Amino acid sequence: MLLQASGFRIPIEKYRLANGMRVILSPDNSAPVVTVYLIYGVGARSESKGRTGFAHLFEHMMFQGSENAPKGEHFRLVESNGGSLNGSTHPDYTDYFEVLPSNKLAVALWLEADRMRALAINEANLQNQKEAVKQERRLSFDNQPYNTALIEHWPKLAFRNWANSHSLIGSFEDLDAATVQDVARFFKTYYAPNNAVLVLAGDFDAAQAKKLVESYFSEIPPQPQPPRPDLSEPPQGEARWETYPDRLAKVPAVVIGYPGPRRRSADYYALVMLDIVLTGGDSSRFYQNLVKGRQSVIQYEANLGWPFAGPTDYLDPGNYAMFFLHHPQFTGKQIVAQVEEEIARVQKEGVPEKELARARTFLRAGRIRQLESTRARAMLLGQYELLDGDPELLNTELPAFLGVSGEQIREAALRYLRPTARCVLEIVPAPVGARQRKSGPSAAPSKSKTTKGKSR
Amino acid sequence: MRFLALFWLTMMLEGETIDRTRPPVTTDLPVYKLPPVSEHRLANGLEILLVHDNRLPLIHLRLGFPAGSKHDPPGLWGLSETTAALLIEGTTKRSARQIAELVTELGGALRAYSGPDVLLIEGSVLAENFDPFLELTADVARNANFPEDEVKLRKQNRKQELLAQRAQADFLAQQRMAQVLFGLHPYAHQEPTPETIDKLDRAALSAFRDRYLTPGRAVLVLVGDLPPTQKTLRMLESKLGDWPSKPAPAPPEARPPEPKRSIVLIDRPGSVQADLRIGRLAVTRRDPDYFPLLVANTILGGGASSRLFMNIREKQGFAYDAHSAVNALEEAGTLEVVTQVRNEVLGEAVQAVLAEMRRIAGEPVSADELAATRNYLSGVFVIRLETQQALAGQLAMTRLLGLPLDYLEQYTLRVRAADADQVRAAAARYISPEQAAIVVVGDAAKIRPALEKFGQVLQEEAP
Repeated sequence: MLLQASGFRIPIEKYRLANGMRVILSPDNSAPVVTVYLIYGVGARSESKGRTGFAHLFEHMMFQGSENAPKGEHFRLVESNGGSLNGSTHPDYTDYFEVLPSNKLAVALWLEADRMRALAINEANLQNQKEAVKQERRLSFDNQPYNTALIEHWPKLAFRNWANSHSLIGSFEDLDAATVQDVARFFKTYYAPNNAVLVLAGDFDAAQAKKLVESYFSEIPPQPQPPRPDLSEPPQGEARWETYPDRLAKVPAVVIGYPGPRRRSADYYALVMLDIVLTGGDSSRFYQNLVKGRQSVIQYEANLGWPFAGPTDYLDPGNYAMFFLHHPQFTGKQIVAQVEEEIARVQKEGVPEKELARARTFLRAGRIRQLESTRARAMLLGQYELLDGDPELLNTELPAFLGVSGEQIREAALRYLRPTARCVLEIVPAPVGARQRKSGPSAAPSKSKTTKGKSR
Repeated sequence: MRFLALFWLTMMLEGETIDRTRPPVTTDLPVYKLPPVSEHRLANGLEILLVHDNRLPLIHLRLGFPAGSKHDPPGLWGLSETTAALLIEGTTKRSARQIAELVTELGGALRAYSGPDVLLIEGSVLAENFDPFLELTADVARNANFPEDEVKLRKQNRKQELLAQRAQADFLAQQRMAQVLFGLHPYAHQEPTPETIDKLDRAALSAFRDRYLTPGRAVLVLVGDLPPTQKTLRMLESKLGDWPSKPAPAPPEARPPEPKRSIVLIDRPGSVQADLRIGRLAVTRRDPDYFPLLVANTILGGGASSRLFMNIREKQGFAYDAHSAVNALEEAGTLEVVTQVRNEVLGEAVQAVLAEMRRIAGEPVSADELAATRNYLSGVFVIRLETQQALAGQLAMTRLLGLPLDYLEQYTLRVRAADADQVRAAAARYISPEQAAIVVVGDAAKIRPALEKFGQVLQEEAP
């Protein structure tokens, strides 16, 4: 609404190749930069038992060479042409990007097409990347405060369906068990053009880009559309609470989450607005009342989809979840009570118009900031196509957020942020040498995450 | 250039001559052109840089001062960063809450922070609300009054944040390396300690602000949907023109010590990997060796195709990440190799890193490596300046570090001018590992023996 009113609109052209690959073009020649973004419809939630962490391990294999680009060539070619690159694995998708000076567009398309068509899969590369991934796990989780709790325990607490609840980084045991046959099968099933969206954003000529895309990608054969995993969760009947002693943490923390709404439902928009009221900026209620007023919370994060996604790539089932780093003179219980008091106030009184107007402006300005780089645009366009089937939402969705009323927020808070639907994970600093609790054998399920793939 | 590119694309698309077995041939990288920067100076000395960029209905602002942590008096580490943090927590006109609410109402974002050299107020706002946002920015820069309760809360929270930071091995390694390399120079203390936080008070913060936040050596950068018209300039003059200037004090005179080999091991029991840093004092951006060293560093460990990445990660599988970085501050610079390896291979990893450092310091780089690296540095430089936000940041830092604006346009040219001899000479001076310091954070019981092969190990408890 206001985004359009300010005359600002992202150009979007969408089409499909004969092999089913979806292509989105968003030209903007104001800076000599282009982003190539490929998003595949497979993530950690498609993994099978005994292969936790496989989607991410596979993502690493995508950088190990393809028929015409030997090992190391992907990095070398992109960088020696002045570009940067990376890939990442998420609960519901895996993505890859190259950002290049715009006269180098063809290089990225060539590389992406070559690996989509003929990835080099061999034992030596697989062994080497298992080690790299194990090191990544040690670096990003096992050797960091809080992160092991978040990736291993939080999903188990919040979900009951294994597809959602298992570890996204994977166990060393499962990583070791992966074979080249697994890699080849996964590649064939999921890395087909009909399971991918290619996005070009930035400085290019649309007609030329189309020809390039056609010539590089059109001969890659499609595969049967892979099945969607069953992600359904049973309704949560009672509150769950777990305490995790963390030998690396020195400051206590609490995670609080509630099962969230369907993506793009009316309550999805209402909860995004509620999140802004509670946590958006220094004028938010949590900042003013918990960090400032009660002086109990030191820092916090919250999001629909937290910790592995945000509103733009949230896919149900997911949580509205929050993380609080808090002063040690408060207990986790007290923090939860303070947060619930804030939630109860919204459930009782809704949100006053003045505060809601501020939240709308916050959202609108945030969206504009979010669209500054071609890379960010490409990612949003790809995610909206993959998850919604409609990249144009990037231009049209704002009114759905801005039109949410205080009363709708109140009702959504009542429906979703119920004490009986609540999960709490308390992370408590534990003395070195304390026994680290094993992740219990559980019928418990888990959830998503983001793992950085490549370089930096 | 453009014409050639079009021609080539057309050729390629029409023919059945498309050869998918080879990477496409593309034209050379273009030279970077800085967008027009409109430069002004108010009578009080405040330098103003405007870039009219209406891609988005947004304006980015940077108001920077040469007031970084190097100006913290000894024992009052954290003074600069705490002064910065408190700027938006109350002024003689507004309470912290009023500032926070106004920022959100304007569709803005506003914060202040400091690094080793500079203190920056950083913000952005919907273009339609620029006037009140500028007024607010001027208010926090000029009239912050450091309310007692806000100072107390910041100190309380900063101590907990510091505890949380110290739980991270990488933070410990980085801090300790700065101390080893910079010795008695104030760059050695870029973070506070709980004891120095305790000593900060309202009087010290006000005094620091009065002394260092003066327009005479400050720079204001505005990038966005704001035309550099007389009207704009009059508005800037009206909000900032009567801000009295004072002579800004020079930074303390101190020299970092001569580089020498030392090995520090910070014990972090339970660590499942060893955080390794190997570092040396290097150069500032003004040094003729800077660009050749940048090229040498990039070949050594600048990207995913660098020697360290290919060797330590892709070949040996020792680590997820292995890189090196040049950090050029205003008065001194460093070069550090950073990696995190599993405990069992620490000795081999140190050996491998030292060997790579020795190789680049002793042997000429290949023509291919040199060409690829010049392109890489030139290309990512252009990409880094893609957004309004990034351009605002680069313009501010360039001026605050005392560099001319055309430094940004010259960058890609100077990267490309670095030849193999200069690269080798710079590497020999600043990468050769004999005088490099080694800092490791990890489980001493598991890794100390491996480290002792490289010399005497000074073992410490984690702070």
